[in-house]
Amino acid sequence: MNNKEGEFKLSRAVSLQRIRKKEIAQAYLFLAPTLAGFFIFILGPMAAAMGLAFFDWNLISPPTFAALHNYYVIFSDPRVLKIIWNTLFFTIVSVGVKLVLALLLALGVHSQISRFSNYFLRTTIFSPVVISMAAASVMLGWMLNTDFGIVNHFVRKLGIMPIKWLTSSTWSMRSIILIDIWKTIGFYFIVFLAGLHNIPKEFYEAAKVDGANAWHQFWYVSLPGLTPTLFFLLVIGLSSALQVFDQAYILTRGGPGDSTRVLVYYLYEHGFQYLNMGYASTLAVVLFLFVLILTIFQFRLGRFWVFYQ
Amino acid sequence: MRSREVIGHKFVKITILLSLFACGTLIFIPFIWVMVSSFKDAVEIFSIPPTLIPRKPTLINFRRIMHEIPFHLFFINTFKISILITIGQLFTCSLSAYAFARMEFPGRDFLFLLFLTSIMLPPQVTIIPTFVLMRYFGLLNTHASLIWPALVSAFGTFLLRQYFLTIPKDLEDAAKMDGASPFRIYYSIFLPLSSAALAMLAIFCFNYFWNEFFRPLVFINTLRKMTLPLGIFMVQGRYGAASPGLLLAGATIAVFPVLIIFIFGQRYIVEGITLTGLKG
Repeated sequence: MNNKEGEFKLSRAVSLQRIRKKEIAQAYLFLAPTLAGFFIFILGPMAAAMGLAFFDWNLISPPTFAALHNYYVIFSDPRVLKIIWNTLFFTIVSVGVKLVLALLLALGVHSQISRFSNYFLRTTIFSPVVISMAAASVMLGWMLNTDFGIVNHFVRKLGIMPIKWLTSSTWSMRSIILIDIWKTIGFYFIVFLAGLHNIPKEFYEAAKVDGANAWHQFWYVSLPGLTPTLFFLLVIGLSSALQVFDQAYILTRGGPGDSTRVLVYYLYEHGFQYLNMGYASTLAVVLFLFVLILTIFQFRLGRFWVFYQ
Repeated sequence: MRSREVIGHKFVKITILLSLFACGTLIFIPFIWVMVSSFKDAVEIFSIPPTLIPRKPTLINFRRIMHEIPFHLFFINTFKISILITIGQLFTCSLSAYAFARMEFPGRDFLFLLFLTSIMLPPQVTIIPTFVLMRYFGLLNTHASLIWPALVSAFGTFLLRQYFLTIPKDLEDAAKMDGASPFRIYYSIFLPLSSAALAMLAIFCFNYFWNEFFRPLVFINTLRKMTLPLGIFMVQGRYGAASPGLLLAGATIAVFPVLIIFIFGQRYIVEGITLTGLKG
């Protein structure tokens, strides 16, 4: 009797274990395609880039070990420092301007009740987001053409000398930033709009009862309520701005001089024009470290200023 | 006193509305201007000051660009690449998202963390080893070199997992009672219930790869295999300086289909972003 019960318990345990094993196998079956792709095309190349950074390799002769020489070159070459500075300048200015302008636009649109104006503004402001940066560069590049561009047509009308938007080192970076703002501000705008939509109306009503004016409502209700949105945009925006490449490659080729040469552009030049695979990998690692440090830093800081309801 | 305040308030409101409309119009003007300019002939396009409306609208730019550059191939290539990647990602991401959301297995939390971290990984970081890998397999200058590495997505997995977590457990418990396998539950309960999230991922993914420039630039080098963004860039190099009319016609051809789809589907796309913006 006793023995039989024990046997039953044992077989139950064995079958449970079998079920458990089957579940685990099934789970890994579900994960298999993603894991395979992830290791072959993301994690593997990531590790390979970090490894290649210690070598010199031109794809033709076998790689030679260079230890930390590539890193040394990066941080001692004033040209690279200029390129890193360009990248950071682009990132800070474009993200900063977009955050402020998009917030203003979103606050304005949020306060309008008319359905038509909502529709019109969302469509027009967001439309550049859906086209490619290549097409956007070509379009705005033509408008910013020094001799025949429409922008300089109005500049001339103001009685100012035509501006060399893309062909002077004073203006080229500003133009690259301008194109980026035009192309991506709509995304920031829509995310802000969603954030505003998400703040409960009761908060505003309570503030009104307490006698808050428009500015108070913004400062004490909207802004704290928007901090998660702002945090999201900062994390996404900064890391994608550090990857700027398309418009600098298409419109200015990093020039004139080095005025619009940015990190990814330099990586591309070394990797696919000079075939310095090791050095290009080192630049890739530097880019990765920038993004990583910035993200960790933001998550740490975020604890102090982001309010979740 | 009171009415003056109301008038003041109205005045502020109208000023805000007008400046908003000015901003919206300003942002949209490049589309109009490029389209208008693409109808100008080779002389008028260089006129100073520029003519705001073409004096003699002509289709010559469109005819020439379609004749000299295989734009139809760019469309087919871009569509093929984007649609295959989108289907692949919907498949791989939904499967792995289901595993992360609903199954228990050793190493789950570690793997998920690894995935989360790789969302922040810039695609340019892995480009050199990926290039070497594709060269080794003889896949340079093929569409396969663009499609294969893009078939998985940490972002898509994360997005769908978050959505799957919101599906009530009762539904699958009932199915489990009836002896349904995990695949059955995934296929007949989770996929139909998350069609909104899947559609959103599909739109994002398709749009992203439709517009992608960096990887095609690295991997593709023959005209007939190029995608639209790369094709536009190539046209700019070939005709940009001498005949910008052709370039603008090319840009118009590339941009307007996407723009029109957006204008009609605007609501869904914007709602999709709203959803991810909140979840992200």
